[in-house]
Amino acid sequence: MFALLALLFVSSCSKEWTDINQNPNAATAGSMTADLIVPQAMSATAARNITSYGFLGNWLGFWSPSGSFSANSEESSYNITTNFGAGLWSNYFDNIYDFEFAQQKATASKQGFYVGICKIMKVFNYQQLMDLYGNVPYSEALKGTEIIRPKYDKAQDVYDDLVKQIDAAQADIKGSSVSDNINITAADIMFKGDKTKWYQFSNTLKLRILMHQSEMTGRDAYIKAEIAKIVAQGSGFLPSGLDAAVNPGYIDTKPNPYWASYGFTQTGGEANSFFRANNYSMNILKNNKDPRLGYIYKLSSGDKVYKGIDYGLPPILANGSSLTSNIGGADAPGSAAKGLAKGYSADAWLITSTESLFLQAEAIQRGWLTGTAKTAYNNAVTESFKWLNVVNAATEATTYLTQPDNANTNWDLATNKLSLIMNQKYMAMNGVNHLEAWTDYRRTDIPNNLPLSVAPARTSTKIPVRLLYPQREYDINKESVLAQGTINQFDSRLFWDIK
Amino acid sequence: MKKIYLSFLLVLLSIVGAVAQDRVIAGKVTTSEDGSGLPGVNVSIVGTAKGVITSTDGSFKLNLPATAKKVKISFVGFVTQEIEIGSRTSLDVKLAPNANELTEVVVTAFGQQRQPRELGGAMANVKSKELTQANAVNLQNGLVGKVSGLQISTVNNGVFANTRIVLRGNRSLTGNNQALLVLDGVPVNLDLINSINPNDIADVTILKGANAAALYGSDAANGVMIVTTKKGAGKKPTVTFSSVNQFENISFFPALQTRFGAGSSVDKFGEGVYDPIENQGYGDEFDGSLREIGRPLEDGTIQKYTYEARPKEKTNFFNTGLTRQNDISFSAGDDRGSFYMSAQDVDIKGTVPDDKNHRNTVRFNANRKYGKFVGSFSSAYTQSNYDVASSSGDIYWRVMNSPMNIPLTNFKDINQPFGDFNSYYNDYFDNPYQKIADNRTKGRRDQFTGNAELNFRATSWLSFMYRAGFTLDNITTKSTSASRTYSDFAKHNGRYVSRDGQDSRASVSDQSIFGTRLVNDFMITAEKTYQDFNFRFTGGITSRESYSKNLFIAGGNLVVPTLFNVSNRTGEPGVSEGSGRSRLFAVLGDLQLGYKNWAFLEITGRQDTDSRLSQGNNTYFYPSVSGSVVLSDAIGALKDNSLLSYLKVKASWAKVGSVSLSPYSLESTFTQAGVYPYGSLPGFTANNTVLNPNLKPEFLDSKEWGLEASFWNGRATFELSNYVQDNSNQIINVGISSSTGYTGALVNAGEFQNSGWEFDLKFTPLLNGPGGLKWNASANLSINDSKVTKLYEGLDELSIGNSNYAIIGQPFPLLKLTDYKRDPAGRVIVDAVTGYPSQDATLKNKGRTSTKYILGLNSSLEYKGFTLSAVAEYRGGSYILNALGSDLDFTGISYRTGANGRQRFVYPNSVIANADGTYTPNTNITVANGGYGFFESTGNNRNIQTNYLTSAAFWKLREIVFSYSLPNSLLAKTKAFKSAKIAIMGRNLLMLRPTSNQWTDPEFNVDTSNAQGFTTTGQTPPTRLYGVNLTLTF
Repeated sequence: MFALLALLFVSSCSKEWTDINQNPNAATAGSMTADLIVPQAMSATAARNITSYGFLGNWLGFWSPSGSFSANSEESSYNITTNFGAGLWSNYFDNIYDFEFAQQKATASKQGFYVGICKIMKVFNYQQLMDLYGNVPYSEALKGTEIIRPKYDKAQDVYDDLVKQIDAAQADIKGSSVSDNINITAADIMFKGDKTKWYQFSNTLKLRILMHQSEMTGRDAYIKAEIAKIVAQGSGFLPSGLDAAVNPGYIDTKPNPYWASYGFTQTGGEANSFFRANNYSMNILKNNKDPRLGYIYKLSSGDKVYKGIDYGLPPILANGSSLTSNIGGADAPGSAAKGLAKGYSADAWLITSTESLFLQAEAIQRGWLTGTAKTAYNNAVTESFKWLNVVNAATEATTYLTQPDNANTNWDLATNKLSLIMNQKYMAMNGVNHLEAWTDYRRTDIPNNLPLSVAPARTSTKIPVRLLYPQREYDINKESVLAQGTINQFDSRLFWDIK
Repeated sequence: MKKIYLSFLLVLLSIVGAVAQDRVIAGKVTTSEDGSGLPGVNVSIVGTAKGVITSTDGSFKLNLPATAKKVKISFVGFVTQEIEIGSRTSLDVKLAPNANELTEVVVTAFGQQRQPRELGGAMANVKSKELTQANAVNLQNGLVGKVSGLQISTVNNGVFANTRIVLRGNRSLTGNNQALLVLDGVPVNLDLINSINPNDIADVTILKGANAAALYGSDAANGVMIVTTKKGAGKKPTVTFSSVNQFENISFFPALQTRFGAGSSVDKFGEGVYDPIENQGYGDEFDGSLREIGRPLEDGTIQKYTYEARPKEKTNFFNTGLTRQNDISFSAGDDRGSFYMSAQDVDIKGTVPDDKNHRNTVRFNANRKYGKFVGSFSSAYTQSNYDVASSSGDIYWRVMNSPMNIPLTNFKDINQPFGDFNSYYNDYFDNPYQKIADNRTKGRRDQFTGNAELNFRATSWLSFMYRAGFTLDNITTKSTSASRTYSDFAKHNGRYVSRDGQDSRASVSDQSIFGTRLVNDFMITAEKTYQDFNFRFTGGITSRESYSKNLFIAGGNLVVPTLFNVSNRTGEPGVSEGSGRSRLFAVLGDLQLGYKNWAFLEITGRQDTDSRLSQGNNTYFYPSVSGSVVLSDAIGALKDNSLLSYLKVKASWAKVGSVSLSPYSLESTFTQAGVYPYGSLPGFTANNTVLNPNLKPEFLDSKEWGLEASFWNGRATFELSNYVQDNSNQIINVGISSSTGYTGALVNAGEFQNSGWEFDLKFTPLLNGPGGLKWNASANLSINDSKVTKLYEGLDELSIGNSNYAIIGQPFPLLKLTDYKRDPAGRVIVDAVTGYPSQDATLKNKGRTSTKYILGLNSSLEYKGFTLSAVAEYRGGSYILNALGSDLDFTGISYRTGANGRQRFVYPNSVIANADGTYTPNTNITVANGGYGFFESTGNNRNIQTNYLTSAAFWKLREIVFSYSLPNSLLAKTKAFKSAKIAIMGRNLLMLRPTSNQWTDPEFNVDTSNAQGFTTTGQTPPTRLYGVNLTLTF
C-alpha cells in the first residue's frame, strides 16, 4: 500500500516534471510581427530576381558557360526535365508564404502599410512565377496543412486578380499612417516607408503585367482601362534614377547578392568564372558601337580582349575562363559603382528605372499611354546608359541614338518602331532581368534572330517557352498538376504567348 | 496503475501459502575447470519445483522438506548433476562444462539472471571469448556475423567506424531503428558503443524482439544489446595484458579504364584531345610518348612524363593504416565483493594520409556486500583525440580528378615545384595532398558512463533496488582552413584561378557538443515459490532526462593566417547555439510465473509520460505477454531422450508506444534566414515544416513465436524464430506541395509491417577427435521482409532521403531512381539523329535497400592449444545506388568510360520512336560521340541513376584468426603467467560481389540513417585488416 501511494505521488509529480517543451532555440508564430519578417522576405525576392536566371541568359544570347566547365547538356540541349529549375518553384512559394504570414500578422495588428507592402510583393512574385510556369496554385495556395494539395488556378484569372491586389494594396497603404506601422522606416528596406515610391513601384508592376498581355486579342479595352486607373492614381511610374531595389545593409562581408555572384570575392578574385559573354549579344554591342560593351562584359583576363562564346559548344581550352569575357562589367574589387555589378553595398533591384521607362515607351508606342514615343524611347535608352554608370552617359547615349547610319539605334531611321523599342529593351535587360527579356521574347518574338544552342544533343528548333512543373508536384500533388494536361517546354505556351 | 496494484496483490497472495521447512542443506558449487565459485546455479529438489540459485561465490542454502531425496544441480553450459541427499547437511559440487548448451544463464533486463528456458522472446548470448577472438577494436565488429537477426553495417571506413546496428530490420519509417544499447543495466546512447573497450566486456545478451520495452522503454522496441562489463572474480588477483597491432590496407578500388589520359574535348573526328592541365580523363589514347603535364614554371621548366596509364598511383595515394591497442586489466574479489580495473590505449592511423585518432579508456567496477545491502558501481571514462582531414570525401574526389596518366604520388611534397598550388599541373582541382594539409579538423571527445546501484534484500523474497545511471558526452572540434596567396606568375600565366584555387584567407570554426543523460530506477522485486509455481514480480518507477547543447563559432578572414582563433578575424563571426531537453517518466511492472520449471509466463506493463508530446497526449500505456514451454521436460515421452535432449516452444506479443520526435517539435518555428541580421536589422523566415501540437505516440504491435532444440546432449542445437511487427500511427514528416507555403508536415500517419524468420544452428562435429581435435561450427540465417501499408491522406510515397522512399505496397525502403525513357517493352528510346538516349523525369522503383537475407557461418577448430576460427557472412536481396559511379564517369577514369574504346556505338537494346507511336529497334544509329559526348553528359549518362544501380549482395570473410595458447605445463614453470596466447588475425580479407558492382563495398552508405544503399565519394575505398595479438595473464 505504501508503495502504491508512493507511485501515485511520483506519478502526479511527473506531469509537472515533464512539462518542459518550450522551444529555447527558435521563435514561434506568437512572437512574430510583420517588421521581423518583411525585410528578409524582400531581400530574398531581390536576390532571386538578380541571381537565378543565368540559364535564361544562356538561352537568350546574353551569356554562355565558360569552356573551363563541363557542359550542362540538359540545359544546352533544351531537353529539360521536370527537375530542371525545380528549386525556383519551391523558392518562390517559400518566399511568398513569408509575405502571406506577415500580411496576416499586419492585418491582425492593423498595420495597413505592411499589409499593402506584402500584397504588392506577393503580386511581384506570383507574376514572375506564372511567367515561368503558367497556371499555378493561387486560390488554395499558402494554407499549410489545411489544403495539402492545392489546385492550380488559370493564369489569366490570377493575372487579373494580381491587378486587383495592387489596387487593394494602394488603398491599404493610403489608409495607413507610418507611425502605426512599427519600424517601417527601417523594415521597409526598399523605400523606407515612402508611400509615393510604393505607388510608383506598384504602378510600374501593374504596367508590366498589362504589357505582358499586349499581343492577346480582346484585351485592349481592359489594358486601357487599367492604365487609365494608374494615371488617375497620380503617382506615375518609377522615374529616372529610381529603382525598386532593396538594401538591408549590404557590407563587404555580407555583400549584395549580384556582387557576390558576379562581382568580386572578399579576397579580390572574380566571383564568377562560369558565365561568359555570349557572342550574339556581344556582336550586337560591337556592331552598334555601343559604349555599354565594357559595362556589361569585361576584357578577358588573359589577353585582354572582348571575346564571347557560342552557347552550347563543348568545353574547349580556347573558351576557358581566362581567355573569354567575364560578365558584370565591374573591373575592380571593392565598391566599384560601375556596370552591372556595382559593388558589394549596391542596392539589389526588383524593377529598374530603365525597365520602367521602356515599359512606358512601349505603352506610348502602342497608344495606351499618352506621350511622345520617340522621347520616351530615347529616355529609356539613355536611362540604361545612366544606370550602368557609363562615363558621360547622357552624351554617349545621344551619340549612340543619333548614329546617322544605324537603324538599330536611331529612332528616325527605324522602320518598325515597336521592334526598335523591344530590341533595345532586350539590350538593356542584359544581365539585369533575363526573365523579363524571356517574357518579351515569348510575347513579341523579338529579337527575331536569337541563335539556337549549338549543342550536338539539341533536337528542337525552338528555345523553350516555359519551365516544366517540378517533379515533386507530380509526386505529391499529382491530381492538381495532371489536371494541367501534358506539358512540354516547346509547345505548351503561356496564355499571353500568342505569337 | 490498477494493473500494478493487482500484481502486487497476486504476489501477496502467494506469500500466504508459504510452508514450513524441515531441515537445511548448504554448500558450494564450483567449476571443474578452475575451481572458482559458480553464481546463478539452480539447485532444486527433484520432484518439486523448489530450489534456490547460488550466490555470487557459488554458495547456496536450501530448505529441504522431509520427503526430499535428491537435489538437481543445473547450470547452463554445464552438465546437470543429480545427487542423493541421504543424511548430509553440506554438499559441495563440481560442475563440468557442457559443449554447445543452449541454456546458459543470461543477463536480461535490469540485470536479472535468467535461464533461457524462461524467455518467450528470441535471445542470443555472446561471450567475451567469441567477441574478442579476432580482437576487433570495437564491439560491433566483434558481433558481426555471429547472431541471426542482427545486422551490423560498417558504412564507412577511416579512423571513426560508423556503424548501423539493427535487429530484425526496420520498424519505423523515419524514426530510429537501431538497437538499444544497455550498459550495465542502464540504457545509453548507441554512440557510446565505440567507447566500450571490448576486453572489458563479460557478456553481451541480445534480445531480438520488442518484449523488453516494458523495462527499458520505447527504444527497446528495436531490440536490445545488453552489455555487461567484467566484475572481477576469484580470490587471486588476475592481471591481463593484451596488445594488438593491426594493419589496414585498401582492398578494393573502383574499376578504372587504362587506355585514355587527360582531356575534356573532342576533335572533329570525335577523338579525345590531350589537355595537359585537365582534371578529366577524356584525352586521346595512350601511346607511350613523352608528354608535358601542367604549365611551365617561371623559369620555363616543364614536367614531362610518358603517356601511359598509372592505376597504382590512385591506390598508392592511400596509406597503410595502423591500429595499436594495448590493454591492461586487474581483477580481484572475495566473499564480500570484487573489483575490476582496466586501462586501454588505442592509437589509430588511417588510410587517408595524416588521419589520426588516439583513444584512452579507463574502467573501474566494484561491488561489495554489507549484510542485507549490496552496493555496486561501474564507471568508465574515454578520451579520444583526433586530427583528420576535414573531409575525406574531398580528398578522394581530388584523387579521382587525376587523369590516369598522372603520377599523383610524385606531388606528395606540396612545397616543391609542381606539388605546390602555384604550379600543380591541374588547373581545376587542388593537389589532394594540399587539401590534406590545408583543411584539418582536430577534435576531442570525452565520454563518461557510470552507474551506482544499491540493493537491499529485505527478506528472502523481497528486495529493493535503486540505481542512478549517468552518461556524459562532450565533443569539441576545431576546423581550420589555411590561407592561400597565389604568386603573381600563377595569376598571370593563364592558369584558371578559381574553384579550388583563388586567393583565400584562413578561417576557423569551433564547435562544442555536450550531452548528458541521467536515469533513475527504483524497483521492487518479490520472488516466491508456491508448490509447483514460481512467482517473480518486478515493479517500479524510472525516469530519464536527456540534455544536449551545442555551440558553434566561426570566423573567416583571419588576420594572422597561422593563428586559428576566432578572435583573430575581421568581420562578423558566425555563431549558433541550440539545446534540447527531454524527460520521460514511467511506471512499470513485470510479472513472471513458472510452473514446474518447464512452463513460463511473463506479463509486463508500462506507462510512460513523455515531455516531447503535449499534455493530454503524452501519457500512454503498453503491455506485453510472453510464454514458453520446455516440451522435453513437460512431456514424459520426450524425457531422457538421447537424441533430443531439449525442446522448447515459445511465443510472445508486445505492444510498444514510442515518440520518435525531437524536443520542441509541436509548434512551427521561425528563424533568421541566411546572413541576417544586417546590423540592427533582423530578418526572420518561416521554417519549412508544419509542426503539429496534436501529435500522439506511435504504436508497434509485435508478435513472435519460435522453438529451440538441442540434440545429442548439446552436440547440436537449433533455434527458429518467426516474427511479425506492425507499426501504426507513425510520426512522419510527409512531403507536401511547396505551394502550401511549407514543404513538409509532421503528422501521425504511416503503417508498416515488418516480418521475418531466423534460424540458428550450432553443432560440434568433433568433440574429442584424434589428438584432442575439437571442431565447433555454427550457421545463422535471417530473412527479413517488410511492406508499407498506409501513408498520409492519399499520399502513396514518402521520401526519406538518399533516393530512398517508403511506397505503399512495397518493401521499405525502396530506391526510386532516374532512368532512361523507355518504350513499353522496356527498351531505351534513342534520338533518331544523335543516337543518344534521354532521361525520363519520372523516377522508377528499383528495389529495396534493406537486406533481405543474411547468412552467417562460423567455424572454429581447436587442437592442442591451437585454434583456427573463421566467420563468413552473406547478405543479399537488396540493391545499392553507387552515386560514386556518376562522379567517376565525370572524371573519365572509370572503367565504363573506356570499355568501348570511346568509339561510337549503337546503344544496346534501343529503339527509335516513330511518328505513329510505335517503336523500331535501333540497329544502326550510333551515338554522336561514344566518349566524352556520351559518358560525360549528364542527360545521356551521368544523371541516369540506373546506370549505377547494382545488387548489394556480397560474401565477406569477416574474420579469420589463428591463435596459440601456451600449454599450462609450460606456464606453470614460469610461475608468473597463468595463460599466454598469441594470435594472428585478418578482417574482411575477402569480399565477393556481383561483377556489375564495379565501385565499392555494398555495405557502405553515406550515413547510418534508415535510407541505406547510397554511396558517394564521401566513402573512401574499402579496406582489409590484419594483425597480431598477444594476451598474457598473470
